[in-house]
Amino acid sequence: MRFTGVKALIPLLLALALALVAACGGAAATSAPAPTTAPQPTAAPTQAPAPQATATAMPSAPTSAPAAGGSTPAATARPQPTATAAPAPAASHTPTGELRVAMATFGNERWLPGASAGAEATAFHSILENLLTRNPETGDNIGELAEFWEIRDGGLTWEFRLREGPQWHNGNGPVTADDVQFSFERYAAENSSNARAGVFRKIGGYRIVDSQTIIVDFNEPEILFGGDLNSGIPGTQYIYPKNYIEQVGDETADVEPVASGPYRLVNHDRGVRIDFEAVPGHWKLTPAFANMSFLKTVENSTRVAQLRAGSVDIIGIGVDFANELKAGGVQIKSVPGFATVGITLGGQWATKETYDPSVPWAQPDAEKALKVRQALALAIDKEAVVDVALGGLGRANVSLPFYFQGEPWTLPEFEPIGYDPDEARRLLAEAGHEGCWEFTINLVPWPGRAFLPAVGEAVATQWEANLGCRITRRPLDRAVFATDFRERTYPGVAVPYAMPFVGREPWQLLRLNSHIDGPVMLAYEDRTFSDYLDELGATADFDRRVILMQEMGRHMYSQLPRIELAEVFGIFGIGENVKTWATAPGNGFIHNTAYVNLNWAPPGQPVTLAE
Amino acid sequence: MAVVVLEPPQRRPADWIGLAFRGLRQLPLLPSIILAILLITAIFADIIAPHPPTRGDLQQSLRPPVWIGESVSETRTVVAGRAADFLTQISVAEAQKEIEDGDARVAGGGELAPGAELEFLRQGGSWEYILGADLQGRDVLSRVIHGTRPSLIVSIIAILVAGSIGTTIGLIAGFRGGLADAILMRLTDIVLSIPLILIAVVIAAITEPSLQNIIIIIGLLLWPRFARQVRGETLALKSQDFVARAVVAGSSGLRISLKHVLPNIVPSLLVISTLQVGYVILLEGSLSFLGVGVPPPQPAWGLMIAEGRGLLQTAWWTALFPGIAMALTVLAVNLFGDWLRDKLDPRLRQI
Amino acid sequence: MTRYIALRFLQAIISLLVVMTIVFMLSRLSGDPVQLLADISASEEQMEAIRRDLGLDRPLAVQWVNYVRDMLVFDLGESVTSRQPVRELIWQRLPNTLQLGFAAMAISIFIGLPIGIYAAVHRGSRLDGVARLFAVLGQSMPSFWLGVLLILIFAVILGVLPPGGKESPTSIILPAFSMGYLTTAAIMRLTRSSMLDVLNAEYIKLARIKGLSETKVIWKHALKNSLIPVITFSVVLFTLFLGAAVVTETVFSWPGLGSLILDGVRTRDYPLIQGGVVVFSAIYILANLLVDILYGYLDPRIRLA
Repeated sequence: MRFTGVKALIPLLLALALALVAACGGAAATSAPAPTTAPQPTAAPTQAPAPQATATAMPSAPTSAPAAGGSTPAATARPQPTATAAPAPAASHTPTGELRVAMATFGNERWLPGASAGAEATAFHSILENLLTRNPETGDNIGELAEFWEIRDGGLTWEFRLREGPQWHNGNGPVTADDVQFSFERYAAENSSNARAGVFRKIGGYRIVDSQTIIVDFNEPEILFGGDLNSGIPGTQYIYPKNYIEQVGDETADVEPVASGPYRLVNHDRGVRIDFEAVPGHWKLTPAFANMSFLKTVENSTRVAQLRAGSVDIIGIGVDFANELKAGGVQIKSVPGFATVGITLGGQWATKETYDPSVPWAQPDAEKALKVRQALALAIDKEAVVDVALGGLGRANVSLPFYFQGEPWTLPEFEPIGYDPDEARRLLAEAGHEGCWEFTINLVPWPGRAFLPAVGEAVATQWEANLGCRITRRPLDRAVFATDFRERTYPGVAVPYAMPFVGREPWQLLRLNSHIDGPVMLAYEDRTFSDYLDELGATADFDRRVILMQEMGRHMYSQLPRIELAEVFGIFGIGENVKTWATAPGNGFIHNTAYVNLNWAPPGQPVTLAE
Repeated sequence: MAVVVLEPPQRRPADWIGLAFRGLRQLPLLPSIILAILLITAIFADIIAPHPPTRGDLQQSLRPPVWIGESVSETRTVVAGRAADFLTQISVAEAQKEIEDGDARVAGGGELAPGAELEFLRQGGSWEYILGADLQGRDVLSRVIHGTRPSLIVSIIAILVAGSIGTTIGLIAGFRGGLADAILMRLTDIVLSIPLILIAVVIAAITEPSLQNIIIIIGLLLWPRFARQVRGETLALKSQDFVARAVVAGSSGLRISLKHVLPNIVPSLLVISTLQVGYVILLEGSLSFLGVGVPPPQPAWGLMIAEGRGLLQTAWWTALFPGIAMALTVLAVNLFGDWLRDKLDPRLRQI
Repeated sequence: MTRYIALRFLQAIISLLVVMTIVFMLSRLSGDPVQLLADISASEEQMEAIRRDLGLDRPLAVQWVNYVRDMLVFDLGESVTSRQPVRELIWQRLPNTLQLGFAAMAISIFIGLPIGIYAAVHRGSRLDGVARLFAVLGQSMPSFWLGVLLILIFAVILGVLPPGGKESPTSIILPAFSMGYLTTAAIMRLTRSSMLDVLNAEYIKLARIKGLSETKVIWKHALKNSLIPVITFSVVLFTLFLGAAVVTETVFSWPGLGSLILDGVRTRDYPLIQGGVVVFSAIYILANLLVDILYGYLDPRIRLA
């Protein structure tokens, strides 16, 4: 036989060598960082949304917060003296080239008001505008379509005066007060899937003073309404053209949107790409790029490859890819305070039918249940979770969601819970659950928060190692888990969830997702807690709210219904064509793309090309 | 007429690849060895694997394979006061902590002071984690070893399921003929004309991922291949003398099927089964890759590749080794199947 | 022959009906679809409205009849997430999937066929060995793994080809290659063995004895006859590509039908899944029908069987 063992190995060795060479290309790039590896600050010196400023969001002086909706006319935003009469600022430049942005999802890709629900509907940001927006440097609310607004009667009445300049695309006339009422009514409508529909449904009536002025009357005080009408948060409460939509009908308007933003829609291949072109002479700004395309690339690694290969300029990506981007020499733009990550322990809500007293962390003996929750919290090395699952881009320094260090409502006593496995075991034994028990952890990759399954895995691993728990991992799509959420049928299940930034004050988000009478329950469900949320919602005085938030924090901290792990950053990967990009603090979803390579200026003031 | 594999009349001495290849084909020593190793690893995974496959140590996250030394993963500037971000800067206090923990050092060995460059170190490989560790600090080697199990379990059981269903249907159709044949074969054709992966993805996604579901789905979708082959062979055998004689002698259909037909089709059944193993392993891998296969944290090769593909820059070993394991396994099974086919049933060459 | 084709056609229609029923059952077996379709904060009334809207409040049999009727007139319903007609969404994506399938087929044939012929004619040569090694490797490499490696090598390290999406004419190369690689090997093997069969046939020996030149023997006589199974197999290949499309389109973000359906699966968009799977299967079934008819033409014995 002519066969020899060594020769037979050759093809296999060849194959192996081939594969190794292929893979080590990547390794070589890792070990020898190119000069570009060191990520540079993304902002130009002239206009720096310094991450420090964005980190803990806003100035802590409570009185200087029109963002929080001041109680007195004194806190009212004053009109920019130059803005009212000023025509559209003359463009200092002509838009050129194309900006390409790749993202994982376009949401449901619907262009009708009230038809899109999720924070992932980033496509709207580039063509639509809102009454207010947020200052990228300070986080304060400032006027976008509105040049002036005022809160009266402790939040019962809101008045908005619109700018004269903004026009609907394609010659559909100016943006008027009627458009505002029309849009708000759509958000409040029964079939609205808008996340803030509940807020709009509290509106009792509208008074159109003139074509540019509208007064909104609420049935009950709504002190942070301005925060809901904001282009700087992940939400979709935009202003839509009444006449156009009524003229062409919903069906057409759903696919052929007319808006007022600095870009207009040119082409929309559903699920594939959306193409925009700059609107010449737009009132707010002239984009640096003549064309902009959003590409939907579901696979994270493909998106990273697209950026590295230079076929796109910006990608939305999770922090779990931070190290991969760094190793590939890609610049990262980080947004601190994007979300707080924690573990919700299901089935604690004693008032609900789905309450399960047999679950140790929810047992009727409140003292024991608390010890179990404390034990679970102490058994997690939060720093390690940040390093492993959050790419190091997070801070394990939160004990309550959005109670960041330096905020007036964050009391020193709200110390982050440390890592102490021995103490954890002791507490668990004291509660009578030595050796832990068997339960499930859900792993749901939420939009923009694909790191959650990795967080869940890291937490489960530690509970198993430190406490002896036996944990089943249940990978789920968000669509499926939505059912569980609605029915609250996950007693005894641990759920890693990251609450995204929606406003500076912690209760703004919690009242959306954790109110006992609300449609969803993602963190806390407890009567006392909900009472705090109600009271906060009706308290126009900022100082009073701070005290309430401190009290609410004490309550939550002592009860520990949810295990807080870390503050996580939002990140974007950016290519060489992007020199500056002013984004709102805390907003880790793609937005403000029209400002790429422009020096940011408040709406109404001239916006110039960077450099 | 059987195709006889003829030895070529002459061979040039330099033809080492062809030679090696023929060696592989004619004496499947290597495939056999690989398969034997696989089987042994699958059975004794608990003993062989140095670490538990699902229990990670977060401190070992992304540890490189043993032959890769310590390296600098990133560099940041030390600043006085608070760092502006976590990407380019680090405060003196934080830098001090990193150095004390042994995670970083000052570039050039200078003093720790504002303005210095801090180099973050990534630990080198160790013999404890020969092929490195994944994101969750799980040993890649142990996971590759344990990953043989789902691959082999799924392929063996799914093929047994498919084989039994397919053989039964093929035998009945071929032997009975007439209406039964027509109905069964149309059914077979129908299932054959369904896009397998697509339906498997949809079913697997809808019925939450689990090993049993994968086996059932693949088993149920694979049987027509067996049914067609078995029917064809049964038809051919039916016309042969010994079966015809048995029919004349008044043997029952069942008896003839079991006694005369079945033994004669065993070789080709074996061949088809072996040739399907590679396909099933790849199919299972695809499902796991798409996130609808074996659920985490179980070690399955497809899942490991899916998890590791986002880490090609930082930790190529997490996706490379399970890929190699999978390719080697399928290669071995295919070579073995080729050999078996040539030996047992050369008529099947074109399958 | 007409009867044979008619029979096969009827069978294809039944296949399609079966697929439609499987998909119909699937979307109703997996719990209440409304729970999955409704927004996370939907009220009970909203969910009832959706139920009525989709006709889910009617008996199952009625639903099935309506569903089949709608499908037959190509009324595939409306996507639950985007509210667009599923038919349009599919029409937008379908050409891309077909394009990818044809490109992969072209790659397989243009690479596989010549090498296969060469390997057969120069049997035992080094290239024959390499070719066969390539063939065996091709059948062993997980296509998704190959895809990941291809992106890393050609898009990221070498930077010569786009890594994903469909933005330039070169975008198709990597996905087509990662799909076609496996089947290139298959074509090569098939060409080689079919060519060898023919070369060993009596009439070729006769031609050689008659003194025809080797080139003429190969190109005129052997090739023509050995191509028949290869051509038929090409159509089979096409169905293979359709099957592989889900994975490949996912890895390369190719905007085809496979990734559309996977999107639908992820968001539990049942009308989209139903429509997508049925259209996909229809094409698949049609391609298989074509194979059967081709075989029937080429080998009359099959028709009689």
